[in-house]
Amino acid sequence: MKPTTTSGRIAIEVKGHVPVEEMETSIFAEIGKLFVDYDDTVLRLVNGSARALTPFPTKDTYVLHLDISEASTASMMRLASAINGIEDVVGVVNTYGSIFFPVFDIYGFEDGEASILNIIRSDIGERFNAALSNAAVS
Amino acid sequence: MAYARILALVSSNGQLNDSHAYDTAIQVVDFLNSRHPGERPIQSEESWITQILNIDDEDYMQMELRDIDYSKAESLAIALGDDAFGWTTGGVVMYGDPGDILFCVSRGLDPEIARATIHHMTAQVLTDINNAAMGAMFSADWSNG
Repeated sequence: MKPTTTSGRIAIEVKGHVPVEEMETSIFAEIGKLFVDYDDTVLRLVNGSARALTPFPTKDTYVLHLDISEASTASMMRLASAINGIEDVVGVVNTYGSIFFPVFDIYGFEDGEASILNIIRSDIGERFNAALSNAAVS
Repeated sequence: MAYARILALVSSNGQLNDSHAYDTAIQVVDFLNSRHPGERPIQSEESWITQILNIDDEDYMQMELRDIDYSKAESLAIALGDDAFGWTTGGVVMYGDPGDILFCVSRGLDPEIARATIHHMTAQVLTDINNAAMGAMFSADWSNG
């Protein structure tokens, strides 16, 4: 049976002292392993790289966003779990499904609070509000 | 892969039922595939009716489509306004990629109703997203770190 394809975003909270380039290298290495380990998996990076880092004003951490297309639900979960295992990753929020019916998975975060979930929700809310104000009605 | 959520105003005088809504959903898929030959066809199982709604005494059907692009979303909005399916008197199409929305267009509806409908859809979508996020918070294993 052909696996269900989906798309999504993985938001990764990283300790602030780690250079972005170094973290991207580690993440891409994990993606490379998944290509080898799971031949039913087609992972494709949107724009070819992790993008946009979002700093937390009150924490010595930042967030990397990784957009994935044409991945299976299972592979998204494997990838997010693998990224969570990288040294200096604080935690991961995995978002897949559609923009209208997203599914969130949380990895890591010992303190019981995934702050980046609020960033994701805020980001989605802002986009919807922008669409609302720009809606074409005729 | 992008998605579209569609809310169509249905001229059924309060008689909209699952069967009518299902027929309309099938027509929507057939319409888009015929209007966009050569592109990857939308599969029937990749679209689904999410709800039948009654807003301000008007009947609406809501469905979501997968594998939609901008041109298909726009075609659909026009078709809903032109009553291409024989049931609809207008509708709203919201379209976007995961994490990167959004296009929102309404055709055929009175502008006041259209704006109210778009507000309703937006509020509902944001509620769905918040509920999903809250569910993740409750079900997360915080001891993994």
